[in-house]
Amino acid sequence: MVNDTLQVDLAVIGAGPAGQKGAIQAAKAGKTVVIVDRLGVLGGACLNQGTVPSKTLRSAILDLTGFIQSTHFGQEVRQLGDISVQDLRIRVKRVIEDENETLAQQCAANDVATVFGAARFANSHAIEVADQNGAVTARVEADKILIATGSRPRHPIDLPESDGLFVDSDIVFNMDNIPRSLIVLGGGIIGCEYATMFAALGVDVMLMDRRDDLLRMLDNEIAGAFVDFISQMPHMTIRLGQSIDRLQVGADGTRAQVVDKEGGMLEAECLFYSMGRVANIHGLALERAGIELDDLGYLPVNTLFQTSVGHIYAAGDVIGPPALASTSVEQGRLAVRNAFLLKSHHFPEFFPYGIYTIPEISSVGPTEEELKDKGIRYLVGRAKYAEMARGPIAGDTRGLIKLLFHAETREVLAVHIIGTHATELVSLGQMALDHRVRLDYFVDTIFNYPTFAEGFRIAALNGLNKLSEGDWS
Amino acid sequence: MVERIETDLAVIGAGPAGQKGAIQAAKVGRRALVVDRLNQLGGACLNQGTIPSKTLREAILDFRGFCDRSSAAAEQISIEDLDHRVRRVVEDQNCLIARQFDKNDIRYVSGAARFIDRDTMTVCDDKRNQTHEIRAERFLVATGSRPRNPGDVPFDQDTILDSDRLLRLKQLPQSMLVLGGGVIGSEYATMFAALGTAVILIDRADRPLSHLDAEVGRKFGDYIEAIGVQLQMGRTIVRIGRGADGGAEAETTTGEVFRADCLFYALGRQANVEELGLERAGVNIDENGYIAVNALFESDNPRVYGAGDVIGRGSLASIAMEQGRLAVRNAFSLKTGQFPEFFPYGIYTIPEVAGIGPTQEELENQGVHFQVGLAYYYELGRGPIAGDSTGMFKLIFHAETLEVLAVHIIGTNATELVHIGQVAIDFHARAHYFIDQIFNYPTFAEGYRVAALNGLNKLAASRQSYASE
Repeated sequence: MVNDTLQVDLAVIGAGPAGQKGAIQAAKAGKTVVIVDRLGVLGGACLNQGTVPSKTLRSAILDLTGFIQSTHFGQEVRQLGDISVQDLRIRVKRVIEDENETLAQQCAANDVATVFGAARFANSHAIEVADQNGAVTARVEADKILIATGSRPRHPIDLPESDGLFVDSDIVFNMDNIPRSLIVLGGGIIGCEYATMFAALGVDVMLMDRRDDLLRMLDNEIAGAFVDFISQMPHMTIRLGQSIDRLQVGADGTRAQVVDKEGGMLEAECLFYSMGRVANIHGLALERAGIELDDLGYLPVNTLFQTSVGHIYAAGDVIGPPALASTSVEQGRLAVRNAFLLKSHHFPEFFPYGIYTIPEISSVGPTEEELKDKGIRYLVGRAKYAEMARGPIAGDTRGLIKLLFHAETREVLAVHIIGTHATELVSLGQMALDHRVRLDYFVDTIFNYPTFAEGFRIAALNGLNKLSEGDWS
Repeated sequence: MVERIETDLAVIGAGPAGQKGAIQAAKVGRRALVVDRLNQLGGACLNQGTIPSKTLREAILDFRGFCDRSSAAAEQISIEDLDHRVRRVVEDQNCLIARQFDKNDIRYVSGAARFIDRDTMTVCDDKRNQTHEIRAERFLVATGSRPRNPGDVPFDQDTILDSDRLLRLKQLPQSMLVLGGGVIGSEYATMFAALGTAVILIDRADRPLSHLDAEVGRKFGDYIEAIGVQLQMGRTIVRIGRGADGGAEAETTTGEVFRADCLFYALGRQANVEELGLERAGVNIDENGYIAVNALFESDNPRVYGAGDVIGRGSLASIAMEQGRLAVRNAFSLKTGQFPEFFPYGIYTIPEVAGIGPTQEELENQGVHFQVGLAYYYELGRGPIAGDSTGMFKLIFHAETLEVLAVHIIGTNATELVHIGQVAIDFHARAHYFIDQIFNYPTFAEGYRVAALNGLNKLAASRQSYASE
């Protein structure tokens, strides 16, 4: 029985980064807003299963093991026995709860109403909210609707039944114990993030992928540096180009096994699969609103984030790549600004990618390969962390800052970084791209000493010295 | 046997200013030579100052992070652990500089340099025997500075210390008096407090780091009190000595006496200008004891340039490097710019503090119509994740043009993050830029967006209330 009908200016389905930001944006513009979410808490997968817990876990593991510094200074990496799953879980739980609380306060402060339950369209202007038994508990009628339902891990087709042997990024936090061995299936961002984290923790990790490379979207040189780094990590084995036949449970029921096409078999105490994500559109009854999907199962939108139905917008993972929390937030904000005809702009041309592997990787702008394909006359400037005073001080001498710049105008075209603080440092490169900064600027600028940011100067010098004059210092 | 050398550039001092100057000369095909007394490259920056102290700090943070956040037994930090790390970094850097000199064909001469006339200097070994006579087309004096130690302070090796001696302590003191709440005093005060030493910080000013933006400075004072530094501000010390128990004592003008295991004297530095024969070269010293140079870093002898701590402008390694580079570019009439108008400061206290551009007080005095936007680390995704929820961004922008005027940051990675603000200032970015920009999530850099939003919302609110009046 419907006990509640709400009439609002904007209904948002999904309380993750895109939905949350979109809702707040509408409220700030004086609109009435309701957010509907299945999870029963705010923050979406980003906060409750994805970005935030994994980054907290990573930060906790790096602090607890002293991994980066220990490997450099030749001290012992503090090992698994010393760190309990409890230590890690406490920290993650605290961060999530704090953030849940912050989001709830933000919604309250902005008069954003929240309704928990599964949303489905009744028609293009109305949403029904159902409880776990499928009973409709509320109905929301709205002028504009923002679909921001996110994504979930893609399951392997033949996932065997087991009790916790096969996990994805949604349930990895429910592990009772840290396994001693782990197979990671899938060498994309999520697979590489978890593989390096667990290896740093002392778990014997086997990272597998069908293809011959890891993190394919990266500049080749950076991806190569990453593979070099993790190849030397203790507890890490990499197996690329593996065609997998099937997954199975070992005879005693305590081992996850992977059988390859040649009949070879590998096993571990646990298997983590990260084979891409799929849009959450199931159960939304999009057909009743007249919305169409694309071939890959995403919601297609135009540059204003409008779906095929003019007053229904979509943002975040549900519309497909780049599917980052950072880009989703901006999409949600812009979608709502467009929906209510507020002053808006196009989605930024340049935005950074941040990959929270160990070591961290981040980039903004095209890869060297992309520039080559476009026939752009570029040059490369490099700075190794070992060349910056901060590198040895912080115990990270393996990082690299790579600047790509135009060989004639000297404008910065792209920045790719692997190493400590890469995700922070890349913002400096982004500023350079957005303001059409020439490489000379970094040479004439004073950087704090000792910092990693100085790497921009060292890389600029390296690049400029490749030009004819060669007298830069 | 005295070796006679003719060269294009002779540099005195192998610290940051001297190194960069020499390399700049070499890069344009000039013969360069560096003389240093220390018999090691890198100057005080590498061997007694910036590098060892920053390494120490980073090591303390690593070790402390482990103790604080783990349920495992707290680890005892030994001075050997810290020392091991500092020595390793200093040695690595020494090698790095030596390789750079090698690669650029820069000759290194060990010994004490002294001018004998306007274009010649001699070098003597530590037995005062002359080893070299060097004639050069241009000279760069980059001899740096040392702690300013008044004669009436009874310095020794374990109780009454300056920053050079502090790094040679053999064991961690239980308690310490730090005299001077400037950058060096505050850096060591917070480091030792993090190691568990009971620190009392004494200064004449009413807060430590009194040159900072007042809001950031107050936050810094609150924070370091919270980690256990006892602040005794507004006090002038008239007597320093050893007490009956062998510990250190410091007495104020009002007769208050503070006692601790040791005392760290951090009241300024002075230029190394003695015994250089500057008068014979026609190089003059200003009233504060620094080498007097013009905007081109040229001294009163147009063949002799000065850069770094010895000219007393800024006294940061980062500034010294740029001065050394520009001085040499000027010396050889290469295309060059003025010393940048805006440059960042970085203070490696715990927490870090950094900034660029004027303080709020300076803007108020200038009558600039500005707006402040604040972002607290606990509002940023990264703050709670990294366990730093006390930091703060303070973004100051023009209330009409919205151009970014200054940024001051206290908290984790402040010294790195400030450079984003620097580009914003140099390229006249407006506060809006940060709102429309995508930052990686979760990062501290996002603080720029949160601070910009905060400032612009405040501005909108004040305009609205103005309109409704």
